[in-house]
Amino acid sequence: MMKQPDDDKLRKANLRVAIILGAIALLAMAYSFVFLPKVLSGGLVP
Amino acid sequence: MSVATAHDDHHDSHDHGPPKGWQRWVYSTNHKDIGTMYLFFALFMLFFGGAMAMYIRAELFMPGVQLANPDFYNNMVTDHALVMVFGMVMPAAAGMANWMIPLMIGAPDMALPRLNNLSFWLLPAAALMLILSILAPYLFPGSGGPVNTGWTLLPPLSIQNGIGMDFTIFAIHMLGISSILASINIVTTILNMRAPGMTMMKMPLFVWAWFFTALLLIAVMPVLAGAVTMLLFDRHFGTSFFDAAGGGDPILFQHLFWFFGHPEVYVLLLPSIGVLGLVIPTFARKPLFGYKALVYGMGVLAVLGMVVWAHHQYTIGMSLFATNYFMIGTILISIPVGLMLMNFIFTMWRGSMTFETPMLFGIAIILMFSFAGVTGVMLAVVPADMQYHDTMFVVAHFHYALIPGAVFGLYAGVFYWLPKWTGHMYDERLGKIFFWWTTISFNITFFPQHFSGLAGMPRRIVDYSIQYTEFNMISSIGGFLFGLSHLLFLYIIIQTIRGGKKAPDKPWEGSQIGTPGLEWTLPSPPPFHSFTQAPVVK
Amino acid sequence: MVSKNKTGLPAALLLLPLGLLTSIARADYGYNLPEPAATLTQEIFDLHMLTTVVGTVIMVIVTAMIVYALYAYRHDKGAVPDQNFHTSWFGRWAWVLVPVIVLGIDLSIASSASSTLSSVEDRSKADVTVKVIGSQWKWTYEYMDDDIKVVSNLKKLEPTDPLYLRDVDDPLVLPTGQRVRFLLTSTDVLHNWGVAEIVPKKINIPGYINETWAHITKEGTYRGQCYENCGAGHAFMPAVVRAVSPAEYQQWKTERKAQQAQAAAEASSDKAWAKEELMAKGQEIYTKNCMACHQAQGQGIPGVFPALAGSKIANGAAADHINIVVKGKTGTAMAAWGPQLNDLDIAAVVTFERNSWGNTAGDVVQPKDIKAAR
Repeated sequence: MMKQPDDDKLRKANLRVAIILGAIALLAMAYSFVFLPKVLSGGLVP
Repeated sequence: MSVATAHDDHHDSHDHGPPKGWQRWVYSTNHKDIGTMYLFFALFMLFFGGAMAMYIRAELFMPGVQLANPDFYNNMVTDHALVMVFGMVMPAAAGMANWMIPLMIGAPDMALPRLNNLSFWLLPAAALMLILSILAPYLFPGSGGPVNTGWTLLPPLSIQNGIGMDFTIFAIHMLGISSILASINIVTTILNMRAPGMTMMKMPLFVWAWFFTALLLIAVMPVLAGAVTMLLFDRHFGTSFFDAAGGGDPILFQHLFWFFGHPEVYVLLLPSIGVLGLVIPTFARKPLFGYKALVYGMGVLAVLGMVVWAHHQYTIGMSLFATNYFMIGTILISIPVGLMLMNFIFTMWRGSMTFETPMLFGIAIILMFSFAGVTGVMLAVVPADMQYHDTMFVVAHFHYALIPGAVFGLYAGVFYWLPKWTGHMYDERLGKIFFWWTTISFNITFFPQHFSGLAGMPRRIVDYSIQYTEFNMISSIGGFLFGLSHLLFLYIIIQTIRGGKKAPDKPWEGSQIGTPGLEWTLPSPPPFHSFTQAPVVK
Repeated sequence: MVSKNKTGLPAALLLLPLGLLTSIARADYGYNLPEPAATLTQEIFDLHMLTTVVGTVIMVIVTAMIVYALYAYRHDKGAVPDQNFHTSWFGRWAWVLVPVIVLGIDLSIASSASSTLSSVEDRSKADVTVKVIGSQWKWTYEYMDDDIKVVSNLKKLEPTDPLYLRDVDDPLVLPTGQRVRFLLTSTDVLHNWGVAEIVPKKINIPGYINETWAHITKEGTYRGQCYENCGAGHAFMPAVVRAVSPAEYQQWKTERKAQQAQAAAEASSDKAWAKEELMAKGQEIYTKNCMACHQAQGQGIPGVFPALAGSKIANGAAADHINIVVKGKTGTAMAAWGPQLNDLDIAAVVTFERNSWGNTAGDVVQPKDIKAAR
């Protein structure tokens, strides 16, 4: 929750959340190249 | 719930108005201006994609190939979908998020305003790429045929396409970056920028809906970007991700595409569910029935939506175990969706309803989206789906899901917030005419397609045998009426922007019931800089 | 601010009788899945009717609730909102009650669907095995046990003909009362061989084989088409199955084999053919196999399919022309015809292309040239 609209701490917190979310997005991209092909070549399905 | 503005000594640094001229829009970091640009972009794309739909219905009016060659038809089918999904529904929902989320949670702006500017301005560039992909076969003769795959871009057909496919891939890359950045911005805003006292469980449902939508987008949009990149590599750099001759698998693309594609459906639906969660309680004058259940239901829907993708491709020949898993998972989606729809019905129950345009759309959505849910369960049943697969029945189903579920939800939102955005009331009589006109013509268009689909008419065909003629004629007439109704929509919007009855701060008397946002504490239209001092929610 | 009494009346329901009326107007007008003609499709049809009925009942209940709410809880009729409805016992337990009811419906549908799915995936021994090969834009059927090959091309009809886009020159012939296994594959892009009366669909994937099966119960002709977008000719590749009695099927097989043997003998003889003979045969082959893309006058579709009339290849060296027909052109829709046509056919069609529509190559290609080029 926000204390004051114009606040350096808030700005840093925003950047932190944005970077974490961006990292998740990059991981999801990697997932398409690495993980799914493995599943499909018979890894997961009995 | 009451709101007190924090008493603080007033400093003038934020008091200036908007910059003048083109710089106001191109350099804008103001969430209201960017929201407005998103909405106008979506409105433009609505007519662009709609024009393609009109061509499709005209071609299908009678058996025989009348208007253009089959490849052009398939190109229109492809781009109608891409434009409507990525160019219309998503930007319109993002525009509403930009406008309303900071106002609802009492934030001065989005958390990352300059990123916000970038996410919008990627869109026109992407739209230009899409238009280029349509024009490519004519601009660059000898560069191969048009994109004729349908929006799923399935290889190997997409490998055969000409240079237009490369433009489409780049357009999707840009659209993807745009929505990932916008989503990061929205999640950050919701987590960090809420006014003191605005706890997560006090947020209006629309904010919750966008929270889940943005998380979904961050998780699945990159997968699509990965998949189309692999397609690009297959086309130009000699890789064989999707080519059996090189040890690849054409079905891999389908898995990747639908791993994105199914959550994408919820990306389109959830913002509208959020709008519904504001509109229904407002006009039933009664708090939302099961606010918590709706929030958790949306969460469950988002998670379930990510693990049932293969129900779009039952016919590819998966193992019995995998098919059973995807079938049961898909059928279970009816639980959160059924809960949501029932909660909306129980919100109307023992209420005191009036029927302004947003409410009319809300009621129509509940009814028609239930119908889409029912045909959805029919389609989830694997053996039966092997009969329905790629017939017009599927087309009818997803238009029933997406037009009431997503587009009508956006219309409800537009009418609900137009007074707040413009400061003028829209013409209620015209709004109602628009509602009845669209709803009736929509049903004339898509209801017959259930029958022609069951009888066996495939989708994405330019020409059909004469046994399907009557249903297609009814469908086309309905389609033209549906298209025409949007000129009235455009007229209402322009009329409301230009003038009309002055809108009060709280145009709807029921809007303060339940978990209202803070947007109603501001004047209509809100000042260029709002909440420069944090309001306090008690 | 308040509209008329009929506010929430579902337009969808109003339209239902309209759809049914049109269907009565034309006797052959289907509005449901076609009448099943095989054991498996019958089972699926019953499943489809079950979900349809359950769905209709749910829609009736939902509609009734909404219509009642619209009738009873109106502001203009003085309805007073119950601000505590969501905190009553029902409000506190609805989030459990609704999902439990929905789960019950779900599980009953899923269990009967699951048992039908097991029949679909049943891999018992088949009496007849047919390989169904999709290619842009025709179907090739290979009888695996009998060395018979059937190539089905669209029969060109006027858009007023009842069989417009529903008939082929050479349908697949299958016996009733026997278990038929279909092995589905493709030579170029994804296709989907669908004949709703007899088989549930599986897609044809290039490089992979899918399997489905039928035990046809009724004699007759069943018509379907391609159900997976395969490009410009997607609408123009019908799949027609003629189901006959086992005795008739045996007879058809014998005749067919004799015919094929005769054609093969003709093609492999070292006879030098006259230009007129090759031109006539070439036109026939062209119409069947090449016209879908390169068009009737060899003009192609600009930007999509190259023209043959006046093309460099059709007027250049014969060896290059033969090479592209036999081996195809990778990365385009041009297929390798070597494995699909015999030497005589290719010789004829190349000769035809080099001497038609103003092409002036003037030479005659003989079957032995093709044999050499393979």
